[in-house]
Amino acid sequence: MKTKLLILCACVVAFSGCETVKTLTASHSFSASGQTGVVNDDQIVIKSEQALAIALDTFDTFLKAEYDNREIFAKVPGAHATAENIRRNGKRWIRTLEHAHDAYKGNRNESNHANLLTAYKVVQAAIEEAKQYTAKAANKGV
Amino acid sequence: MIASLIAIFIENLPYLVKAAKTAPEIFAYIQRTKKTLEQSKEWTPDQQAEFDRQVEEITSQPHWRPE
Repeated sequence: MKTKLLILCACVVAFSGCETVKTLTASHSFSASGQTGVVNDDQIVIKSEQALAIALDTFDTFLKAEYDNREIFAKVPGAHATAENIRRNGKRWIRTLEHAHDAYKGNRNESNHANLLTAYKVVQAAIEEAKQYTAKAANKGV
Repeated sequence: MIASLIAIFIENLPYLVKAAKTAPEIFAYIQRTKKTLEQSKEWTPDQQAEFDRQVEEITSQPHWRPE
């Protein structure tokens, strides 16, 4: 059992201990360059594209770990429910962010900027949840 | 002593094999994330189409299916 946790510890390194993920979280603090009319925020487009790619990868890594280690994740209240929530909605969250990204790219107005920011925050929250539950699962069996 | 260590090793061998298989996947995940964060230009239409394809491919895997 403890050896099994090596797998999860590796996931924790990837999800929680990795500077890359910390950088991602820090770098995704969007700032609107204008509150009225046209919002010309070029960085938000690139950052949302980064978020899309990392969300897909992070969700996939988390769901695979949960799928392959059901007995360990079952010890963490809420972990399986979170995984199921991502299974049911993760693709929709990604698609919503992608559509908001496309809309903002097509018309960089305040409304589209706000929608993109909202969609981004939903995806970011799910990434954070996936990271937290993976860390909890790793600690549970030690 | 040695015999018991060997027994523990053999008992956990399947998990060790699994961990050995998982470690490269995690390393690859970190490398992909780093590469993603190095992105400095907006996606081209081809890159966006490739992402769309990946979303469909990845989310159709068995571990993505809800109970």
